[in-house]
Amino acid sequence: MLDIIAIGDQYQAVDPDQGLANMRAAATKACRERFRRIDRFTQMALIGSAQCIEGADVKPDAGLYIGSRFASLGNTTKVHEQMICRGVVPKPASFINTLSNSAGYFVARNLGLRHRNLFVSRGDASVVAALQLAAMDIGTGVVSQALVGAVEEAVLPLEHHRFRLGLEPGTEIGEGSHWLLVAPEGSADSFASITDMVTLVDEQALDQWLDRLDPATEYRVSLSPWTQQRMASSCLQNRPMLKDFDPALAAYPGYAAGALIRYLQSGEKSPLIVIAADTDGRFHAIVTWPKGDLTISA
Amino acid sequence: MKDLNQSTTAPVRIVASGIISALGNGKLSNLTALFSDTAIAPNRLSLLHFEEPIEVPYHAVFGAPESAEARLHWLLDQAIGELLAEHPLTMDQRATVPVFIGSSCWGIGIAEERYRQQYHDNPETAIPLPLDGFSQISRYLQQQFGFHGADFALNTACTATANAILSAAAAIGTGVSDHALVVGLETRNDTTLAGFHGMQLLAQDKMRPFDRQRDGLVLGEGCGAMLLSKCESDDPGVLLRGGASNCDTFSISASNPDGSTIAAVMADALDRSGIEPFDIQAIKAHGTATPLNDNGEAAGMCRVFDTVPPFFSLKAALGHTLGSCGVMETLLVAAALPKGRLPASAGFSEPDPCLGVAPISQPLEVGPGNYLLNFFGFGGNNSSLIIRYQN
Repeated sequence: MLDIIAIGDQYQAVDPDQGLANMRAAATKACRERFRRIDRFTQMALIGSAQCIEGADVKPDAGLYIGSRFASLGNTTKVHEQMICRGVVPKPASFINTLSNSAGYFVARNLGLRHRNLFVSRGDASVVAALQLAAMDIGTGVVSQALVGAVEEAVLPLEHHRFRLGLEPGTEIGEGSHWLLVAPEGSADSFASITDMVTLVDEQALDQWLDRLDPATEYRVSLSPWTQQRMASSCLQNRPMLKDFDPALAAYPGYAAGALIRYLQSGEKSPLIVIAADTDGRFHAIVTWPKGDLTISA
Repeated sequence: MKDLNQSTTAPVRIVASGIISALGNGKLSNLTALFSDTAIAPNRLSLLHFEEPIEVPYHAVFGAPESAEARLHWLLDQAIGELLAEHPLTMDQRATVPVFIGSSCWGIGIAEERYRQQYHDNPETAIPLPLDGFSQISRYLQQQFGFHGADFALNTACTATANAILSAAAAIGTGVSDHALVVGLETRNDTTLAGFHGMQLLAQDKMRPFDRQRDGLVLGEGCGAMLLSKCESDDPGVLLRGGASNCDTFSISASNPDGSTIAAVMADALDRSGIEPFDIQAIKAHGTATPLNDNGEAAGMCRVFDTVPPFFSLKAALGHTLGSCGVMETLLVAAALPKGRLPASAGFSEPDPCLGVAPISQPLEVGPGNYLLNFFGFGGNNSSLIIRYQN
């Protein structure tokens, strides 16, 4: 079990007419030093992580865990366009930024973190994988806290990006950098607890897992538009204690983390189940229980 | 020596493994090549799709299909096949065992091929990165072998599978599972080869780790797989005793050359394993033959050890297999230990007086004891593992 003690959040829907939001000013504001040649993915990670730890008591041995489906997608697509269409060798800074853990390096440097620093991917459930890694390291005492981020940037043109994400043409696209500072169960100042982080092999296994929930408790449930597309059965509709939670987010791989943070900000008190499907028929779920009456804002 | 029970990591044993590399297919072939007196020279590889001709040294595997997707699958088939032949997990076990995967390339070669083909067919509609590269290995492990458990696609550059091993041990230590699978894969692709070429990190012809004439690294491809299982601390075999993974924010492309951060991760690994520096019998160095890495690693070893134990690098033989070197090199050391010797440091012939230390130039007779393995990567990621061989 993990206690949530701080959150950070940066999100925007992509306006097809305006293009991608410029992150430079917000990233500069979030940084304690001037970083050169960082890409947009790293800028987003710096913004969200800095928001999360602002005012929080971050332990010196805190670990850093970033989950993302595509990592630095904007930079890597540019490298491939230049390399494959024009035969250009990647520039050193661009090549380094294709490495998924570059953002983690800059976040660690910005926040003074010197300990475990992992990048992990698992499709739209990357935040679940990051939380699972954090829980294991906290469980073995390797770290006393974990700063867990889910960072997903959109890339133009949007029709290409929708193709990558398996979304229908015209689907509204979002992007975001969502962060949780988590600590062992029983931590002071925690305002929510994550009690379950599970991987279920198929929809039948999801159904069986839902069977084990307390039918007397009302749960709120959040599914991304893509996860809803992947869910064939009525295993959610058949359970009256499950009520939909709509975080009002566009479609993107960070939807699960964005929904979790919006729920915590809402002040609702029922436990939240976030479910993310992957491209292999599995489902990944997180159960979060808000504590007390604290309404928070990132 | 402290008692094994003082380790802060629960005992975990390497119960099975498999490998395919430029040295051969399977552990036996790899060990035979490592202990052979014949120098292992890399191939020359021409990168055909660039403005100017690029030719690089490369440790390629033999017998692999040419297409990127088939090559990735073939590499997995070889390594997982050897592992399952040693320890045939039931389908029920496979369905739930967590899978920790490390790589630097993932599906990037497949993405390159598809984009290149699309661009050739119609540049107007071609989509760069038309697939989710991180899911390619996990998907094949699920479809081909039934590994449907929680998967972790770790990418921390050259420490990816060293970190995967630590996370796999943590999964067992926290009771998530009694077993955990670790898979590392690196395969040929233009992005990586051209990227290292552009950074001017590649050697002219071959790797010479810790050698006075060292001039860079040679990349390699391969796949390693390792099954870790819960065990008792006195079980015979090769156990993961502990390890550490830290972030060095000195530079995104190199550890602090004064060795301080490398020393820190080795010291943390010793501490977490409950042992002292003098308990280490030998060190498998990261040893990439780049001036910065070898300088920093030598300085780090001198900081931690009053007398630096015998050490060696495997990369001149295997090539630098980037994200998969953690599992490939660890399983080879684990396979060599019961045979009573460790290989000489390939590619080394002339000591560098600036380093103050030199790797072993002959195979080393070894026995039961603790062995340290170092892995360092871009992004400031430093990892050290400690394995214990016991009868």
